[in-house]
Amino acid sequence: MMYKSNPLKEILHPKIAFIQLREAERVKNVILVALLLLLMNVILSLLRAYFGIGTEELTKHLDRYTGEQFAFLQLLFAFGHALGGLCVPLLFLFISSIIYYLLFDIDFVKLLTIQLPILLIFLLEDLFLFPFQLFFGVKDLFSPFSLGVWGPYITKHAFIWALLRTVSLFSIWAISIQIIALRSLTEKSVQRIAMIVIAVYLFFALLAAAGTEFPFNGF
Amino acid sequence: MKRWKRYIFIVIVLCICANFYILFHAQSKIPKSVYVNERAKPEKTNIKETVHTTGMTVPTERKFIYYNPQLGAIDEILVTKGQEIQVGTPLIRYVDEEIDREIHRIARKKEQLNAQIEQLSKDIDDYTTMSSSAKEDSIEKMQWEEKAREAEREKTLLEWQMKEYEEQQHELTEKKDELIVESNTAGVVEEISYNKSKPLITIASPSAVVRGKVKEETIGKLAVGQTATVNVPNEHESFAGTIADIGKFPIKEASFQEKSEYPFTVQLNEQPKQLPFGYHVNITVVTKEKNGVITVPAEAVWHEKTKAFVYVIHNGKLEKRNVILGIKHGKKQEIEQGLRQNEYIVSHPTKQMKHGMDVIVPLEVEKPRKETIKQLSKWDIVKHFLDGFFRSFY
Repeated sequence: MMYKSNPLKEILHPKIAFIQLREAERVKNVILVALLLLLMNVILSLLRAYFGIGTEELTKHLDRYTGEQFAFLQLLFAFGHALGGLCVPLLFLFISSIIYYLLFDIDFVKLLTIQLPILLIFLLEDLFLFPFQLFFGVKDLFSPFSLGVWGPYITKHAFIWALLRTVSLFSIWAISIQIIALRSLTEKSVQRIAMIVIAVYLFFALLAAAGTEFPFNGF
Repeated sequence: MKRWKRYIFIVIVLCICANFYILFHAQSKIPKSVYVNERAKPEKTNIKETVHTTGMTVPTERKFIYYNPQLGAIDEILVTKGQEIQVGTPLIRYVDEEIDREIHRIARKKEQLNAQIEQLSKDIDDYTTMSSSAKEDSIEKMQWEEKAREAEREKTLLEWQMKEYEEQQHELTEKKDELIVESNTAGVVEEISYNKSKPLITIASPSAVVRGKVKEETIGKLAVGQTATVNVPNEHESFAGTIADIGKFPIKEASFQEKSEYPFTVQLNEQPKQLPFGYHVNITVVTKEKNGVITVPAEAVWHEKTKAFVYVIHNGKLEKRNVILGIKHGKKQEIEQGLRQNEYIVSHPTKQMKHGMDVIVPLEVEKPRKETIKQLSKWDIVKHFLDGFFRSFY
């Protein structure tokens, strides 16, 4: 039997989709779907950069540069952002797949396949957030779909804010899809899988928080 | 199972609602960014404040000729409406019947005298011929000669009388000439009126000034000596001038219901040739002029009650700065105090903007020149590229 990768079906009817995946002997379209998702991510990154979303740090230096220099730096930012939009999901895709590959005895391609709906969910999150960022000035860190908005009320540490930000409606959705998928593929107990998935997600969350708080301030 | 799902759904919705409240309520602690679509730098320019109004061309001066009853009745008006006149052009001829009668009487007397003198001359001739034909030293001759001398005396008397009459006649003619009123200005006959409450003849001077009207709110801005530009509607022609006079009384009778309008006069530097009197024109008066002042687009000024603000982008954050406004002209607004020339300001402020917000600006796509890139340090380039890269994490 052959399984065609379809992230949309996987996030809407995960149980059926992953049972089909388990039964499948070959998986098709993984690379195509992955590339498509990456491309969409890059486009969204460029779009965000075009509207200057996330360029708060850059705007601080507005007075220091001439108009032309500033435009060039904006362009650099956009390129960096587009590259990030390509690399970050790619890293996530492979690192998480490798981790699960080491922990469970599952086909690597199937593991890659179950990461694709996760990418789609994160892409959706970005899409949902985009109008809020553009029209209401909501920052990435304070997405209304996440616990990030509680950050400034709890602590002054921006790192904690970034960690809180990783707990969002979409990340819970992604984790639950991940758990359903891995359970369907490994048939291990829910508790164990949930613990592993959450641990892996926490690892990424720490990484993302560290990345977000890349220490540029003061330069 | 279904109920369990419903509870989760309700919890999620409540959470998101709470998040939105935390994010958007008025005293929210959450720092926000604001998207500044357009920014501008204040300009150092010249600015003038103007008043726009309308007016029309009128003669510089009007001379009024009134009926003078001392000179008698009017015999004839010697000009017609619209006629161009010079200094000395006769305007009105009065008539005095007594003088006319006297002249007539003198003329008749003169005729009479003339006839008498002629008769006497004939008589003298006759007497002379008679005396010459008479014998020498005769009584007859002496009588004729006597008669001739007498006639001669009488003739001289009459001639003297004649001269007197001529002098009288001359005097009377002069008196009659005085009854013709001549113009002492050049111009155009604007109106001839037989209405007793109006001047008989109105003479308009050929040069024109512009009479404008101004509302009572703006009358205070005008002053004598301010420059004004007069534009003829639908034509590109414009004339420069200065305010020569500002009326103290409103054009119409003042009333409590209506706002008053006041007249003012613009003296033109150059006479418009083609414009007839009473032609409506637009007037722009420069009431104030300042050179080398800081101006911003008028839209960039945010008004709150009586205060004015501009949003300055300072270190990547919005700064709501109180400014003192100067004069406004068109889309430019002078900032008297509170703004320096090299600061970026927000071109179109919105309600959302608050002091201290982070600013984001859209990307300006333009091809950078090599020199521009060379001027930047490598660290600048790497830093902002990496900044972009790491913004992809969240």
